[in-house]
Amino acid sequence: MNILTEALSLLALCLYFASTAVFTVNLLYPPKESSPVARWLFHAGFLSLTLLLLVRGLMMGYFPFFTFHETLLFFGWAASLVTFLLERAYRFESVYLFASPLLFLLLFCSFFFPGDAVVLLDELRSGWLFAHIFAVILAYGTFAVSFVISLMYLLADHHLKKKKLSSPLVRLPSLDALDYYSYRLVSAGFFLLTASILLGAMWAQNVWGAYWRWEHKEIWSLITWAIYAAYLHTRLMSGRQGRKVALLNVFGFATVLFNYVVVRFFLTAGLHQFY
Amino acid sequence: MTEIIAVGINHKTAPVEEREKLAFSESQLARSYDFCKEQRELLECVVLTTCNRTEVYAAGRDDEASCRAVMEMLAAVKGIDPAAIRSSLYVHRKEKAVEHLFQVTAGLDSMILGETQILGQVKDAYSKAGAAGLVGSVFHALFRQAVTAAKRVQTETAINQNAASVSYAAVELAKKIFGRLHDRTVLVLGAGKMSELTLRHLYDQGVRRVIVVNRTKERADQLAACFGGVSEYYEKRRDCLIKADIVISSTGAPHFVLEKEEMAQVMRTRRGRPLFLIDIAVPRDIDPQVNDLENVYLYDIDDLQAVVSANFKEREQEAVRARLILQEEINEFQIWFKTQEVVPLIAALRRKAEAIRQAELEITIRRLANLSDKERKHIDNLTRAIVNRILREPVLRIKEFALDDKSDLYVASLCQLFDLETEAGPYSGSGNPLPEAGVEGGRT
Repeated sequence: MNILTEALSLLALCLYFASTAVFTVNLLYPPKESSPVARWLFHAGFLSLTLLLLVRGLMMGYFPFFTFHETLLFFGWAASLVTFLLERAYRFESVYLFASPLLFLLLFCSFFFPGDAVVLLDELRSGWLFAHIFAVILAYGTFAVSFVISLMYLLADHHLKKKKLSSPLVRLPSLDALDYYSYRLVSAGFFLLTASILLGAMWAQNVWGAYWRWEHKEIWSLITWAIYAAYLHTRLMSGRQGRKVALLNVFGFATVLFNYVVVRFFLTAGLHQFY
Repeated sequence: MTEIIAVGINHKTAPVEEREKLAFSESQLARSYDFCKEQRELLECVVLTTCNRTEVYAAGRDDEASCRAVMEMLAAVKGIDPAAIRSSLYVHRKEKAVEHLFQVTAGLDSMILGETQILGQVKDAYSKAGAAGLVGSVFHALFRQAVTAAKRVQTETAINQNAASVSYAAVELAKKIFGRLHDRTVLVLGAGKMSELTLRHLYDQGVRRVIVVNRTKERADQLAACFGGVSEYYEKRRDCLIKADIVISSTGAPHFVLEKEEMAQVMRTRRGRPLFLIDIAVPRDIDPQVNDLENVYLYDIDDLQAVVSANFKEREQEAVRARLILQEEINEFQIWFKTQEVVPLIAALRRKAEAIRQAELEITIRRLANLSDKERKHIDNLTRAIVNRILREPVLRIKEFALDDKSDLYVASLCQLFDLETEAGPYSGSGNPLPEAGVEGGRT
């Protein structure tokens, strides 16, 4: 790829790394007055990632989320967006700390996959398809942040149970708040995932004349959907909360990752070959 | 030359039996101020009396004399032999006394390191002394600076951030689990003194739903009424456990009141809703194995005590930072205090210059008889400007000299040079040794 996108992706990687480092230091050795440096770094990383995607999109003339390299970047962008909005909505600064390593990891992985552009078949240049992919990656980003928060819940739960209260990691929001945030994010992600599956089905009907073809990707998406549906059901219908629900959320994200990585590389042929 | 002293007794130097001998009631405090006003040696005086300390801060020309006067006052008001208490009292002089007051005000000398109640008590003592007419410019500045320093310590360090008592530690834990406590329900098992204290803290944090269960219903009714809650019969405690978010258990039972099996059933009904159990009874009320149940957080008295001692370690670390802040504020006060010593000198210098100006002006005006009012005014202004311009530099220098160790020497030589008669100290030159409280004498 050209020098501009290379530079932007390196910049974003460094910024997310720096923000992770600063947040960690701040958490372990809490400063007296909370310093905005780590937040600025995160915001700068988010901005450069946004620019990177825009530049790529303009250069190639399509939404940059077709190769694995591109989806990794876009996945990272979606998770950053959700993190940013969540922090804005609830002044929940520690989410940056726990989300930054994940974002760094996503960007880091993108360097191992060729960033070359693909030649798109005409049939792939469709609004339906773009919406389908856009929605699913946003859903993944939302699930990722929700997963991070559930990890925070499990960590806080562990510390409270073991009475390790001198640990700086207890400077988290309350268990109740963590539980609520992860639930809200799963609701949003579930909505996006459902929309994406429906959009994909309609697009497939338009182009290939079949709504559902039982491809691996489709089956695993359905499994993911079912797990999150189960999560929401336990929350809403039987009002459950607490540790088991957090574990279910972690499990849900594991299937997302399985679907995203394992299915993409080892099981897929057919229409979803890019993903 | 004014000297500041602090004479006192506190929890570190004396046991409660001795401290209570020197504790002041309101009327004794009034009598002590009356006594102090009659002592010529004492120019300013503040008596600080709390359950952990009795301290007298005094300002006078001679620290030995004021120390004796304070001892006499203590002996007279408390009706004890001065020699008997002398050994258990500490006396801080000059910089040490200033430093001591700053540390006391900031809570660094308190039994609970960094507590903030003392700040209010110091302010209170200061205003009572002021009302009695025993606060002058020095103590006004001293106490104001000490209060400023204490407030800085509170905002700039985390010294008072974490719970310092078992019951408050329980409240902090509840916040870590539930966040806001407003819509939470507290169940009190066993309406003892300790559970009441913890309940009080929770109530202060906004908890309004209170259920009290006690073997004797009357006591449960009483406690519930205090917090606008309800009382329940002991037999219905299972239902209460399902409703509650926080349980304070402090019964006198010799065995476990809540067993794991029962709690497991309760938790099944609660569907994972977190439950915070505070067991402050000895012997314990709740089987420790209950903590193994999911979403149950059980803390017994030792766990809470461990939280408190961890917090104290943190407080000690913060105290180091607090001392640095205090030092800055003490320095600021000392600069002001030392410049106060040269205020009479400056006044004398100004008086002298003004006298010369007036005398010369009169002669000139008399000679130039037919001057208009306007011209006279111009001449008056001219002379005034010359005097001010000439004195400006020396006055600034004198203030700088005051901070020097050899300030006495400078003062003496200036007096000689200009043939000035002055007595050093902020009280010289005025008939009344005590400027009114609240007026900053000579602070420029």
